[in-house]
Amino acid sequence: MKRRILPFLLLLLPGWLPALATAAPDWDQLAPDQQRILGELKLAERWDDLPDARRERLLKGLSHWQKMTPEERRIARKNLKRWRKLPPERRKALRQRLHRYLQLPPDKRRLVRERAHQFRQLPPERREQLRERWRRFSPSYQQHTRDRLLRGGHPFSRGPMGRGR
Amino acid sequence: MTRHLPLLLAALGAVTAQANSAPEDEPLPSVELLEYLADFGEDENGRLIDPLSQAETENDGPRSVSYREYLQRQTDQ
Repeated sequence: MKRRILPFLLLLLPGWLPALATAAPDWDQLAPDQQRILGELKLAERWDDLPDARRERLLKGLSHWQKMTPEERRIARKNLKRWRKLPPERRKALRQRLHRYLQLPPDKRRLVRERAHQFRQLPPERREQLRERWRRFSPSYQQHTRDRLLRGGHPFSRGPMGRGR
Repeated sequence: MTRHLPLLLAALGAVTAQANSAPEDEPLPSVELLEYLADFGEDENGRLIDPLSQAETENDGPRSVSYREYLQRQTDQ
């Protein structure tokens, strides 16, 4: 009987392993430093009741905070005010853009930064024109344009952020 | 005087210990700030990147309209 059940148990086990590995730590498993800061934020009592995803998020934020210099922390506080004003869908778009950006190799990232810098130098009306043109592109043409940018071309053909297409 | 020396040293030690463990001047992060920092990315050199660095302009987001107007437009679309 036991022999017949064993293969099933072994089949189930790999499915369970990721769930066990990703469980966010309980309060007692946190480092003293984490407990000190989260405790000050009145999270001690309800930590174990928070969903795993929320705990993971708070711990990730805390780990970033602990790595930051006082100056970086000051800037982050300032930027939070700007972040707060953005609508949820804009925040989501920026998170996705950052995710895509970080997946690029360093040389491509440098290229993106250069192009973004050039774009920011343009007069506001020109930027708006380009945004409008971008919105009119089909998704496949937007992808083609992104690819061209990453090959070193300009996102809009003919000249720097040119007049073309 | 010699009798008071251990007491003085003990007191001095306590003061020094207190000074060393004094809480940082810097205020603690809020829960909201931690959630915002969770959205930061990290490059291969361990450098943190703010998602706002991906915004086009300083005022990225609802430009030249109030947030309420912006939401209204979204609803109308």
